[in-house]
Amino acid sequence: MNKLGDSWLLSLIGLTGLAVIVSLYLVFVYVPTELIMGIVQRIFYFHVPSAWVGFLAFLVAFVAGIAYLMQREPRWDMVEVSSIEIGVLFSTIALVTGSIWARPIWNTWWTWDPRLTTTLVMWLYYVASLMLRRVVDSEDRRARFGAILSIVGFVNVPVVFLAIRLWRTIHPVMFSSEGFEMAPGMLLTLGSSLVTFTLLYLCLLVIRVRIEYLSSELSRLRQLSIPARS
Amino acid sequence: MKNFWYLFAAYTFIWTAVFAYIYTIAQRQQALEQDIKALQQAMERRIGKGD
Amino acid sequence: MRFWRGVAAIVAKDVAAELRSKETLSAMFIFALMVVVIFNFAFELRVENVRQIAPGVLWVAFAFAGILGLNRSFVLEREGGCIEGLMLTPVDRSAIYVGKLVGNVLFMLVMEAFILPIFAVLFDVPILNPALWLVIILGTIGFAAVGTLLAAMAVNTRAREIMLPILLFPIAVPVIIASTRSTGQILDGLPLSETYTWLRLLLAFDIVFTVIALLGFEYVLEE
Repeated sequence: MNKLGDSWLLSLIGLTGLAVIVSLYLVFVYVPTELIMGIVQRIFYFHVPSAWVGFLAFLVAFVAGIAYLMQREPRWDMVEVSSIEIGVLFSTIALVTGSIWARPIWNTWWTWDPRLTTTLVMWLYYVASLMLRRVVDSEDRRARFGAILSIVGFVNVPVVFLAIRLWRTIHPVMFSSEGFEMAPGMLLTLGSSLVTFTLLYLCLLVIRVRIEYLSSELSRLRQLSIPARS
Repeated sequence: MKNFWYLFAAYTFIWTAVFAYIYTIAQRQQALEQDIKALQQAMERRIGKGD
Repeated sequence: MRFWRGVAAIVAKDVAAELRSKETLSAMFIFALMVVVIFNFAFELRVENVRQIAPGVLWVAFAFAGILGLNRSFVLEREGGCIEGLMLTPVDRSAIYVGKLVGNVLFMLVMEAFILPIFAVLFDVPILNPALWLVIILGTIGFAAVGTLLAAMAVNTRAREIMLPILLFPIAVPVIIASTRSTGQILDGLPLSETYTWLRLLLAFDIVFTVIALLGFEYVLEE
């Protein structure tokens, strides 16, 4: 794209790398092992930030969707699709790590915890919305539909969460997913993980948006090259 | 150290997923950049031939 | 005023077309019937008390049959070139949405009215309860409100049959949960006060998503 953009990206990547190293140290060396769950509890420091980044990504997509419908600037559509893709990636990580964590602790591969279940439902939806983009032929329509889907999807997140939580308080299940006490060192470690994952999100977003930009450049060039035949 | 393998599995999954994603977008980026360069060169050649 | 006349015209058109062919309604009815019967069969063999799963079966049947109706309401438009025709009329885009929504709700309610007695017989549950009808109406409106918007988009894609279900079901999860829970409570004979939370959730969902769908529809129909 341009040299200035490149140097920003490189600094961002560098910063992320640093954050990863710090977080790794905090998660695996610094923070004490939790008493009841043992070392498996350390999954928590990756599981929660992944879920957070998923939520953040879908929020960004929501804003980008509104911005696109209002301004019709292609770059908003690029941000939106990129953010949803990355959101799905991190939601997948949240779901899988949640499942892996649940197995040794609660002896089940899945818990109907409201946050986890909401993540699953929204995962299905956002994957479907990415699929829809693939089967729409017109570019303009793709962007418009994508924007509407991002908006509708995100509005639904609190509603789904609320519905599931209501369902579960009336039918309480045996365990909750916050099964331990937070010691002070844990808060710091969690915070550092959150920052790291957010930085990682930003890196991936910038790189992914660039791909969208390159892709549109390619189409534009293709359009130009057609009438050049004599 | 019980349940170590669960921790390991979760951790491995995260890194695999993230790097797999980075790899696929890097591939896409390369392919796109190649196509753009090829197109640009083709266009320059055509302009060179005189239109 | 013109808004409501437009809505009425669209509803009248859809109803008239359906009265002639009766294709959509019969497809919806048969499909829902199949779901109810098959589930009854499948669970009778394993579950002690089929009444426990009855609410879930009912709403699965309604949801799947509803998808059928939603799909058809736009596929037929598309095939006849009706959408373009509608857009040329001096009718507000939002009137098209409301007209389609009313039509879809109507069709679903008719299908549901026919399914309920059969459901009552197969699962041995009491259905002559206005509270139950209220839940069904609210649930149907919520489902159709989002469904109409999503169907309008899904129909414009290459994979039109598969896109609507996979988009609609996640969004409709709150409706399904609330409707199933309150249906269960009502069928179990619990006092209505227990169901208030769910009814409020349904109402809130209906209002929020009808408004959003209304706003979003303008952008779907642009051409």
